[in-house]
Amino acid sequence: MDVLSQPESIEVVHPVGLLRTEWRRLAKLIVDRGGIFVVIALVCVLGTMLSSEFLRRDNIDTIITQTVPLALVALGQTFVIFTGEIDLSVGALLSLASVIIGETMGGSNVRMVPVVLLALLFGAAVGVANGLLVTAIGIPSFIATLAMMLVLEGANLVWTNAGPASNLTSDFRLLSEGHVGPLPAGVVTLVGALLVAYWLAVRTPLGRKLLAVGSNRRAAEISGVHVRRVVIAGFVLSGIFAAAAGVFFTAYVGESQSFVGKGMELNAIAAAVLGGTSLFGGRGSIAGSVGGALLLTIVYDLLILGGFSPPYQQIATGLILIAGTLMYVRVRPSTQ
Amino acid sequence: MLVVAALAVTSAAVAAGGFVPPPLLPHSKATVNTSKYKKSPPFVVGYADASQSNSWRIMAKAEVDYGVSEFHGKVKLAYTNANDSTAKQISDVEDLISRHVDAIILAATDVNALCPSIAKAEAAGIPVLILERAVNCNNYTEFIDDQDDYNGYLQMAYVAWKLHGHGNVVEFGGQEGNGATVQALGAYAKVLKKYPGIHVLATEYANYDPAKGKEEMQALLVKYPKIDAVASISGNQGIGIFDAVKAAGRVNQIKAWTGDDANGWMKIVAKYHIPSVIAPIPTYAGRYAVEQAVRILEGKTVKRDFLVPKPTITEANIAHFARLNRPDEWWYSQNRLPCKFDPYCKH
Repeated sequence: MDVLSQPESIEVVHPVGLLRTEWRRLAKLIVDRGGIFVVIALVCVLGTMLSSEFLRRDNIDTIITQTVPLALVALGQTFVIFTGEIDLSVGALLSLASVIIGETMGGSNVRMVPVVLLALLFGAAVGVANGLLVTAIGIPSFIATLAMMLVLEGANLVWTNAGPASNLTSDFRLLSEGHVGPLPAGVVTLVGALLVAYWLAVRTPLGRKLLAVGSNRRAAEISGVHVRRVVIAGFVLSGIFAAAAGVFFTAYVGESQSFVGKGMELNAIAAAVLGGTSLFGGRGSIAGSVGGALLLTIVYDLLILGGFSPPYQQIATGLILIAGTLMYVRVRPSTQ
Repeated sequence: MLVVAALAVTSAAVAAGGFVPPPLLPHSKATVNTSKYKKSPPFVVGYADASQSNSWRIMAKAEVDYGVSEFHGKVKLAYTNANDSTAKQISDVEDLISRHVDAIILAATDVNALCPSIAKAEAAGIPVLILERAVNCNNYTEFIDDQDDYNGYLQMAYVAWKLHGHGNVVEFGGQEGNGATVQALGAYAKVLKKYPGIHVLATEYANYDPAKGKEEMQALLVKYPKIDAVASISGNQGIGIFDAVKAAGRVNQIKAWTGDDANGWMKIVAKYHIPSVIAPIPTYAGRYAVEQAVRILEGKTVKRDFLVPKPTITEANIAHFARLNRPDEWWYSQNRLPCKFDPYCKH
């Protein structure tokens, strides 16, 4: 065989090049197997150097509790991003779920479960609406869910005049402030949500179909996947998780707030991307999304403990976002 | 008369509690001859609102509506909402000018950008009343002044009094860079220059959001084992801050709190009997704006800087002001706003 006509069959073995290739393989392995958690570990080490209070039990409990709403929204967002779509309505939906809780609980423990279910059902309904706008009408998800966000915010104001009723019960607050045995409710919620999301993504056909649609929509369709239904299912999951975040956040704050979720959509997308989910669809990590949310919360906490003023908090968060995403861009191949 | 009586009651109660509010800041005592604006009713008063995106703005609009109703048809309202967009508000003011309204009440979205629009309106013979949000020009007719710049002095003076000049305080601004926050924190700093024994442990910005207030306070409670006072410019974010302190079991450690007259904060002060001063940001400034607009259109002399009367509220007289049966987002309204105008009054 003519070596020149097949240059690709010749391997130039150079010690430095070999070393670089091996490092790259190792880095990819680490990144693919949970690079975000390596970053969290590094940030925690930095945290212990910045503040002696960082590893205190009450601080860790606080960090985990504060992570829950963002993690829930990020998990829901991950399902949508799996399919190659995006959901910008989650922040407004979280706020409206909070309003539903406040306006309907009426200070009665008996109503607690039905009211929470109502909020989750509402989240699912919004998800269906988003899904139909995207699949049946053909509006790009960025526009459809942006429009839905405006509709939900407006409806919120019309209903409550920015002053929702807030007749919550002390039992309801236990969802965030209580304990299950020795474990804070926030830890239980976070682990529970992670397990449910993991099961959906990895152990059910739906999870595989979400990724298949995001990876190659045409190929998925040819292989018998009902693409439209799968995309709608992604939005429904996003809506339910956002509503669940609204329930938890309301228990955390202790009252309903009309704008409690404002801006959450971008943080959730950031958390999902930091955790390894590709915005192009077809690839992602459930645990990574929780890791992304945890990282953002830890950084926020550390910057307050470290005495940094808010402008530095913003700069640090932006830099971490760039660094975290760069990790995936540099290590993974650029083609899907 | 009602206002005078309320102020007398509150002053006595506050004095009984021992706290003497600092004197008001110097304001212009100039008057304005409005004879050039005199015309016959009915009057059309334009209200160029900044937004309706929070409960304060919603109640201020309700007060404007109530103010209009008090004139029994003599005044009609032409309302625009800028949705916090300066570009939209400039366009709104031009729209009101082209509709030949008789006066414009302006709640400015920006301290500088609306100045040319104010000049245009005045040049067209339309008096402009600035409602609550100060602007960096003086070509308007009257400023309906909520005295936001005074609130910071009042709050930190209370903290200094409660701490007897010694202790640790954490500060919470609202939105970083916004005029009210800049004024309030600047005032805090000026007061604290006189009390070197009071140390500011941290300054955070909670965006008037109780969730953010709670998150930030939780971190501060971990970092600082001894916090003696919490100076928050906003009562709404104070709700979350207090929740964090309560969950940490440290309510008794805090000897002084501050906030504004958001009902949620006033309810906490009343319910838990915590030591707090409340610096009101009167939504009823909206009603006064309508009354002053009518005075101007009747050709009566008005003050250039109209100070909206407001009581000093502390834990000593809180029961007179907090409304336990109203939502947290309700704002004190001098007990005058009828239920049919009050968006937070359930019939």
